[in-house]
Amino acid sequence: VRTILLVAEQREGKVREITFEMLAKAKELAEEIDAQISVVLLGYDVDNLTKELSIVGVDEILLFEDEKLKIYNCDGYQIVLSELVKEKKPILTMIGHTSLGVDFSPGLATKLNLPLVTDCTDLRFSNDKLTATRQMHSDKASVEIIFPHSTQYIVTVRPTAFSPLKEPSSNSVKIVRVSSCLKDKHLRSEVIEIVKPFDEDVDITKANIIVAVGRAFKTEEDLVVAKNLCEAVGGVLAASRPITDKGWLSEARQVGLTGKIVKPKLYIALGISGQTQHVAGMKNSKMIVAINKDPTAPIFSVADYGIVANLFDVVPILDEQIKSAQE
Amino acid sequence: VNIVVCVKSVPIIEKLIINEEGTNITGEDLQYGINEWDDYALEEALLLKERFKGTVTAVTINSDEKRAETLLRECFAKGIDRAIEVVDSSFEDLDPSMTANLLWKVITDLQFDIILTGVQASDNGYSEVGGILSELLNIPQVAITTHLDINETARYVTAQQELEGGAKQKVKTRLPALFTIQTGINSPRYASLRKTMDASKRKIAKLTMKDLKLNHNEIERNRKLRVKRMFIPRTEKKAKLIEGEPKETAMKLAEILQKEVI
Repeated sequence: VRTILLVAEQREGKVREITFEMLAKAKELAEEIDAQISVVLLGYDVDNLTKELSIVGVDEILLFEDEKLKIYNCDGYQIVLSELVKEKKPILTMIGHTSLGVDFSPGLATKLNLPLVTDCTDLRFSNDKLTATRQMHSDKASVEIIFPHSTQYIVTVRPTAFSPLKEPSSNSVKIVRVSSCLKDKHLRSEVIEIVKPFDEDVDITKANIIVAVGRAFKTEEDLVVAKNLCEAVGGVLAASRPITDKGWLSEARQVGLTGKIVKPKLYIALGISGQTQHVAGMKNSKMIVAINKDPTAPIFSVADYGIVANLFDVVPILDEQIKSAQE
Repeated sequence: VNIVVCVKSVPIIEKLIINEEGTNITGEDLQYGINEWDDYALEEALLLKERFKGTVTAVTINSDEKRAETLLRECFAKGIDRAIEVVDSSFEDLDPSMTANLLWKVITDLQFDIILTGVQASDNGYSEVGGILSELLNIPQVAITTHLDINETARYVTAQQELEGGAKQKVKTRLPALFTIQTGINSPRYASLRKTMDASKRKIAKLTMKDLKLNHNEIERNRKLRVKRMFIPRTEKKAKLIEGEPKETAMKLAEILQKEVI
């Protein structure tokens, strides 16, 4: 029987959303190719999570508990998972394209001499051969990837690519304890601390109106245009990653997968192209307005209103109009 | 500390055009520059060198001699000590496994304490090469590094690794080790005109496949992936576009915002 092995992701005893997103796709694929789904859970004292993972379509949960994996460990994950893949020979191993997945999956695939394709947004089988869809060139191009020499595949799946599946299984799911093969000498690095995000100057998740700035702002001085708009509309300033990377605004104001998830009443995106990294953090805003000079920018596929123009030509007039109407 | 930094020349794309075969981008006047993540990795290497002394060696793999050279001259202008390129016209279509295997062939003979790569390249965005390379070299690695702290005497590093939602974790690892560097870790420098002039005189070590005792078949044997089809994603245009001159659009938008939100 064919197996799809799905690596559940948990941090500090909580199952991460990506796990359920992958399960949705795994169930679809399993039905197509007549495979069983084995979910593997790694950690320590995490057996209470098996209930949450007993989702419709899951055939078994492989539970690996070892105090050495109480906190994530790159070598530890690679060793345990490579042993499991050797034993189970899954046609497909699914891992989240999260920080942890990005950390351990390339080494895992190399140990196993199996192909890895990362950040997939779709997967399909035809005659047991996998085709994976992913994005390239900052999401400007889609590609279909094939695997010339292999019949087993490892993929990482882009967060938010699939809607999560959380429907509990009606039958009880088999729990299989996997015995530990880990030794201290295997672990060349250790996570010594998880650092929570700081409570900084502002909590953008509580703002009603957000004015967000992106790559079109070439200098720190340019930000004044956005700050003026903030004042006019009573909004809070936020940014996409390139702006916080430069240190022009604090990390607390970064919207996106690696920053904050926001849902304001109004989100005004200025000079933001709209890569998934950013869009995942703001797409549920009530109203989205985008100003960008590139008509093909993906931000226009999530915005409610769009202006294709140089924002520096439009925004100052917009300020005036709003201010004069308020007087 | 001796540092090796892997750098890649990537196309700077304004408007993406796909070739006739539908497998890759095309465009005769494409401009190339250093991959954004690698620029941060290069800067981190230079900062570590300034602090702890040692050398920085930049390594690049490319299908085009001129692109490789331009990139490495830029690295010299910023302050590296040594540059190595491996160029072959067949490298147009490398996958991450092939790239990592080529880098391994070059780096395995070098003296190093730390290897830095970017988290990913802006063109194909795989985030695989660093992780594969560390496994081939049999050294520990930390991906998505946002801070590096070296204890030189005790030979370990405390790296900060980015997690989702603004959280981070501190990872302690022994040396030698590989780190993939995230954007924002530092502020990459610009090279001065004088240093750019000087860089043109520096020597680049140019390795061929023969130097690495490799042939095409052996390189192709490491292939794991192939791009079957590239296409422009069809995005559903949800936005109602406000048309007109800038002034006109601003006035219409102000009206909408006042009516619906403010």
